[in-house]
Amino acid sequence: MIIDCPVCGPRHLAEFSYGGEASRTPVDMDNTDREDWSTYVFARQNPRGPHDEHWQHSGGCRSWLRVRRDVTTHRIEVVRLIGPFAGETRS
Amino acid sequence: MAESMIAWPLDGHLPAGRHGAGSGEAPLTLTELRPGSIVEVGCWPDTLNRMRIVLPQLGRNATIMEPAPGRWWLVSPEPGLAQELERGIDTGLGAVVDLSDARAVLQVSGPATIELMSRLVPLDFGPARLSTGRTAETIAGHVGVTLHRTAPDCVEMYVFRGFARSFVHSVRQAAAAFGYQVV
Amino acid sequence: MSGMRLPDGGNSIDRGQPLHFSFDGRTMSGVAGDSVASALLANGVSVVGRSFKLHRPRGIFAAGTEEPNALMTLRDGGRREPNVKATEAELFDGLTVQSQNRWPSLGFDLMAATGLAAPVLSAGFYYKTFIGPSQKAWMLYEHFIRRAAGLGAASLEPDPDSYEHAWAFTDVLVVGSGPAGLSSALTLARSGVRVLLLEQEPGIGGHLLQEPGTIDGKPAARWATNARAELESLGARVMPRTTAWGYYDGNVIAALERVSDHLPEPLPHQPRQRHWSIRAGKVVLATGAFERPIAFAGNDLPGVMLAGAAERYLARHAVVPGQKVALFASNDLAYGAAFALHDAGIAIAALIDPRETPGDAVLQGLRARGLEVRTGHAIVAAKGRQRVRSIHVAPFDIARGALAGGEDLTVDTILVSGGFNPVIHLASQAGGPAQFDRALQSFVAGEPREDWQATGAVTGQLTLAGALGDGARTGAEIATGLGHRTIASAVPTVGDDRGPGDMPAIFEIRDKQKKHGKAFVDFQHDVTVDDIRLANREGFRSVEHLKRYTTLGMGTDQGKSSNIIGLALMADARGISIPDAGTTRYRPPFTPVSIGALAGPEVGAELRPKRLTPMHDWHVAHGAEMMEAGLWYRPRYYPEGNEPLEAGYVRETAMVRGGVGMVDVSTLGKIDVQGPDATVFLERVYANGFAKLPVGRARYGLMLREDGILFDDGTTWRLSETRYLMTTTTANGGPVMQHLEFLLAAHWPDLRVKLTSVTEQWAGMAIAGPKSRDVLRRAIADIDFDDAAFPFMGVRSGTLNGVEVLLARLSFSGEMAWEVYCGSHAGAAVWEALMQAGQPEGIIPYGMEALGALRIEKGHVAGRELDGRTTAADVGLGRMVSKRKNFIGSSLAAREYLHGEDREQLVGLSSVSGTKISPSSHLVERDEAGSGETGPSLGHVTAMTYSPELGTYVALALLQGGMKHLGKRLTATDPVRGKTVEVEVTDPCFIDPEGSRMHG
Repeated sequence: MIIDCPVCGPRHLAEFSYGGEASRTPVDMDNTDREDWSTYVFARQNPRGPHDEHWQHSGGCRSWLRVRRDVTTHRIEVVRLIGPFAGETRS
Repeated sequence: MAESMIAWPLDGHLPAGRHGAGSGEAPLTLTELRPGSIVEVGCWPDTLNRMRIVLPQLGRNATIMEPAPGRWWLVSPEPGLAQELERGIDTGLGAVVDLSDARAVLQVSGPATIELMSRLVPLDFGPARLSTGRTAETIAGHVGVTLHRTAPDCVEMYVFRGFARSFVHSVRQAAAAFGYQVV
Repeated sequence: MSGMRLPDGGNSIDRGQPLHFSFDGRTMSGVAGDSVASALLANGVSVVGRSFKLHRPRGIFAAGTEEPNALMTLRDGGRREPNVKATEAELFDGLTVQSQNRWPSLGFDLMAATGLAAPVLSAGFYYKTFIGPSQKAWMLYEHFIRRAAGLGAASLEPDPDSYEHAWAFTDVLVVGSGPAGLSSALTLARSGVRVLLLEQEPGIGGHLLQEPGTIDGKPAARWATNARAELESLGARVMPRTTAWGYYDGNVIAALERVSDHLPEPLPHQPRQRHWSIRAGKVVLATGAFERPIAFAGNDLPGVMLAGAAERYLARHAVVPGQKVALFASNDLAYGAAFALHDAGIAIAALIDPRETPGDAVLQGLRARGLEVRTGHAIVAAKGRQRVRSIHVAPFDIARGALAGGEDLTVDTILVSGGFNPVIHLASQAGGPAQFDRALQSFVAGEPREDWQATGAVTGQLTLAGALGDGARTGAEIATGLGHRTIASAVPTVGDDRGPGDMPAIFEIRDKQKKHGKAFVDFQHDVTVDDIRLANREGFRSVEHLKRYTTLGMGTDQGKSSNIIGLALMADARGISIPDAGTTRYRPPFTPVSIGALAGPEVGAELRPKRLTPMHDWHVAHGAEMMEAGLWYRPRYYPEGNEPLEAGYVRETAMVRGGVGMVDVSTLGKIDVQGPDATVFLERVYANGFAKLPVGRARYGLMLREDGILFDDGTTWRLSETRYLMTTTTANGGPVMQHLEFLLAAHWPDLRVKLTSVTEQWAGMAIAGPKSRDVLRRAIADIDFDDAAFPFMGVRSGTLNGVEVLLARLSFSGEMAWEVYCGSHAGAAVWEALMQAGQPEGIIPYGMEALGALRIEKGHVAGRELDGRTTAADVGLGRMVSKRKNFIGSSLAAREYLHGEDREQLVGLSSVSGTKISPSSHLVERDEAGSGETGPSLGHVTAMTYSPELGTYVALALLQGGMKHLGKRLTATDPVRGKTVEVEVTDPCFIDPEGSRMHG
C-alpha cells in the first residue's frame, strides 16, 4: 500500500504507523466526563468501505496524517497533514 | 573542546582503499563527513513566514534543509552553530536543538551513486522527486535516514549515531557489488 | 526413439561453446544457450521424473514456466536447490542435475508399485483413508506416504550466496517482452516515457523467438534484438531473467531477478538473486498465453508435449523431441510445430484434428509439404510404458465425442494443442473476477483494480500482427494519457502471419469404455479426469472445493496447464457452463520465489540493525558480556576472569552499595521539549504536577495512557523557563515520542511546543555509590557538589576536560548517584575520564544485571511491572497521581474497575529458605495439607535477584490484593522448570526505605 504523504510524496506502508480511527473528536482537557472519554477512547465505527484514520509518517517526516482509505480495496482517497502546520508545504 | 575528546562514529569502520568488485577507478566513493554542527530548528504556525526569512540570515554559510514545514536542518562545518542560533531565535520565534552528535554522516559519490541508492532506500531519484538539492527522510534497512542529494551523483546520508556501524556495513555490502573506494 | 539435436539452426544457442553437465550421475553435453530441458532432450532423455502420487514416468511437457513434470534438483552442497523446472533453468558448465521423486532410480522405480494400487488413490484418498473414523490407518501409513510423495530435498548446509533487495520507480512498467510487450515499450520510449521492461527469460522476445513469420522483412527474432537495442538507446531499462511475481496495492510489483542462477556461482561481490519492489505509474501486462493441452488416456506418457513447446525447442535450440511425430491439435497455430519439424526432416506420422477442417493457410501449408490431415478424428489413447510407442486414433464428433473404430499408429511423439489460456495471473491479483471468452474457451482478465492495461495474447490477440498492433496502440494510449506528444509508432509489417482459426471447446477425449487407462488433467498432482467426476459425485463441486479435494492446481506449477481443463470438466459434469462453474483467483507468487530473496541481506548477524552506545568499544575492550535490549547492545556484566554471571552481578551490586560504580545509561529515551507552552504541555501529559518545577531541577514523572493505565516513567529536567529534557525508559523511547507527537498534532495543535528526539545526541552514564561524589569532585571542577549547592534532583552543567557536561542528581539504585550527560561524540572520552578519576575510590563499571539488582532491592518499577495492565496505584505510586489537574488518562484512571480490592499489585518477596526464586514463577497458596493441588494463580513474579545486603534471594511480584498480604507466606512455583520456593510477602522497598542514602 502506498500513502501519498503531503510532505514527502508517495511512500510505502512500511514507513507509516497506524494511529487509529480519525472520525472521533478528541475530548477537551477541561472535560472530565467519563462517558465522553470512554466513547473517545473505546468506541469505533469500523465501517466497511471508506474509513478516516490517523497515520504517522514515522519512518519519514514524522508528520501525523488524516487518511481516508477504503478498507475493502485499500484505495486511498484523501491524505491531509494535521497538527500545527496543517495545510502548509515545504518551501 | 579538545579534538582528542571526540570519537567520530565511523572512525575505523570505513577503511581507506579500493574495495569490492572490479579494479581501477571505482564508480563509488564513500566518505564519512564530520560536520561541526547539525542543528534542528522549529517554529510555530504564526512564525513560519518570519522564520523562512530569518533563518538564511542567521544560518550564514550553513546548508539549510527543510524536511517538513516548520522544521529545518542546518549543517555547517563549524562547531557552535546551535549556540549562535539560540542567540538569534528566542522562544517566541521558535526552537533550536543541537543534533551535532546525534548523527553519523556518510557521503556517497560517483557515477554509480543513484544505482547504489536503489539497493538501500525506497526513494525515487527521478527529476520529479529527489532531484539535486532536495532532502528526503526515509528508512534504510529498519534505520531512519535523512538524505540530501547535493549533486546529480552525490548523496549525503544522515543516520542515527547508534546505528551508524550497522548502516555503513550494509552500505559497504551493497557498494561492493559496484566497487568503491574510501579516501 | 527419442529427442536429439539437429546439425544446424537454433537462434538461441552457440555451438562454439560446448558445456558439460551431469544428469543422475551420467555426464552429458550441451551448448551455451541451452536450458536444462533442451539439453536433456538433445541427449535423448525421455523420462525426467516420476509423478508425485502414482510414480508414473514423466517427460518434458512444456518449454517454459508452465512445465508440470520436469522438476529437478540442481547443484550440490550449500547451493543445492530442489524443484527447479528444467524448462526454466539455464545450463552451465559443470551443472549437476538430479531427477526427483524416484527410488532407487528413474528407470526402475520401486514406488511405481503404487501405480498398481492406483484405483484406490483417487480424489480425496488421503482424507477418506487416514482421517475420519480410523486415524490408526494414518499412523500406520504416514511414514510410507511421506517418503513416497516427496519432492526434492533442500540442502541442509547454509546458503553461501547473498541476496539483495532493490527498489525501482518508473512511469510505465511493461511485463513481458513478446510482440505486444516490445511494441508497447517501443511506442512508450519513443514518446519520451520512462519505461521499465521485465522478461522472465534470459532472452528478450518471448514468442518472437519461435515465430516463423517475418517483421519488416526480417526474422522475428532479429526484430526483437533490434527492438531491445533501440529501447536501451532511448534510456528504457530492460531487465531479462526477471519475473514479476506479485501485484500489490498502489501499483507495486514484486519481481525476482535471477542475477547469477545461470552461473556456477555468483561473480565476486554479486548476489545470487535480487528482489525488486517496483513502483509504476502504469503497468502494461503483456504476459501472453499458455498453450492448453487436451486430456486423453495415457496423455502423461513421456513423448507427449505441447505443440508450441516443440516449435520452440526447434527454433531456439535446434532440438527435436522425437523422430516419428503425431500432431493432435484443435487450432491452426499448432500446425506450425509440425511444419517446422517436417521442414527440418523429421517424420510427421499423423496430423489429427477433431475439427471439420483447419483454416486455409494450414491447408496450403499441408499441400505444399505433401502432408495430410485426419480431420474429424482424435487421439483416444497414447500407449507405451516408458514412452509413447503408439496412438489409438478414432473418428471424433464434437457433439458425441470419440466414436467406435479407429486404428493404432506407431509414433514416438505426440504434439498436443487444445487452445490457449491467457496468462492472467498478475491481472487477477489486481483485478476483478476473470471473464470467460467464448472464442478462446478460456478466461481473460477482469476489470482492473489497479492502474494496468493488458495487451496482446493475454487479451486473446493470438496473431503476430494483432499482438504488435495491440501493443503499439496500448503504448500510444498511455503515452497520450501521460501528456506526451505521441510519436506515431509505425506498426511493423508482418509477413507469413498465422492465426488460430476456429477453436472449439475440446478439453477431453473421453474414453467411455475405459479401455485405455488414465487420462490426466493435473500432471504434477496426478489428478485425472475421473477424479474430477468423482469429486462432483461426492459433492465437492464448487471450484474451491474441487481444488482442495482433488489438489488440482495445488502443485508448484499452480495448475498453469491444468486449471481450465479441470474447470471445464467440472462444468460438464454439472451440466453448466464454464463461467457458471467459476474460476479461482490467482494469488502471488506467479512462480516460486526463494526464501533467500525475500530475506535479502537481513540474515545471520544482519537480521536486525545493531544500536550501539558511544561507549560500546570501551565495554567490549573491558571484557563486558554484551546483551540485547531491543536493538541496543548493553553490558550485562563485566566478568573478572571466568566469573559466572551471578557472582559477577553480586560483586558489582555490592561495590555500588559500598563504594562507587558507573553504568552506561545512553539508551534511555531523551526528548527535548521546548516552547512557550512546554510547561502546559507537560502538565497535560504527566499524571503528577510539573507546573512548579523550578529551573535547574528534575522531577520523576508518571505518564498514563488515555485509558488510565500506566504507560511510562522517567525524569524530566527543567533546563530553562521554556525548555525541558524528558527521559523515558529505554524500551519506550519511540512509543512515548509517538504518543506525544500525536497529542500535539491531533489534540492540541494550538500549543507552541517542539519535540525533538535527542536520544542519540547525549551519551549518558550513571555514577552511583557512597563515594560517587568524591569521584565527581575530582573530575569536574566547575560544579559545587555540596548538598546545599547540588541537592537531590538538582540539575547542573559544567565541563570535564573541556567537554560540556550536564548532570542531574538522580538515583535508580537508591545510593547517592548522578547522571552525567555529554555529547555522544565525547561519550567514550568522558566515560574514560571518570573511570580514571575514580581509581582512588576503586570505581568499577557495572552492567544490566547489577542495575536490575539495585532497582529490585529498592522496589523501583521497570518494564516488567509497567506491563500495560498496571495502574499507578497498582505499583505503589497512587499518591503521585494529581487530583488537582486534568491530564491524559485522568478521567478513565478513575474508573472503579481500576481500583478494585483484588487487583494484582506490587509487593516484595523474600525467599524463606534462601533458595533461588524462578523469575517465571506464579504465586499460589502453600500446599499445607500436602494435597498436591496448588489452587489458582494469585499473581506472578516480575523480577528476581540475589541481594548481597539481605543475604537472600528477593523478588518483585504482582499479587492479588498486594500489600494486604504483608508477612504472608506463599509458594512461588514455576512448574515448567520444576522450581518451587516458599516466599514471604514483604514491602517492595527492601533497602533504606527513608531514602537517606540518596539524599546524602
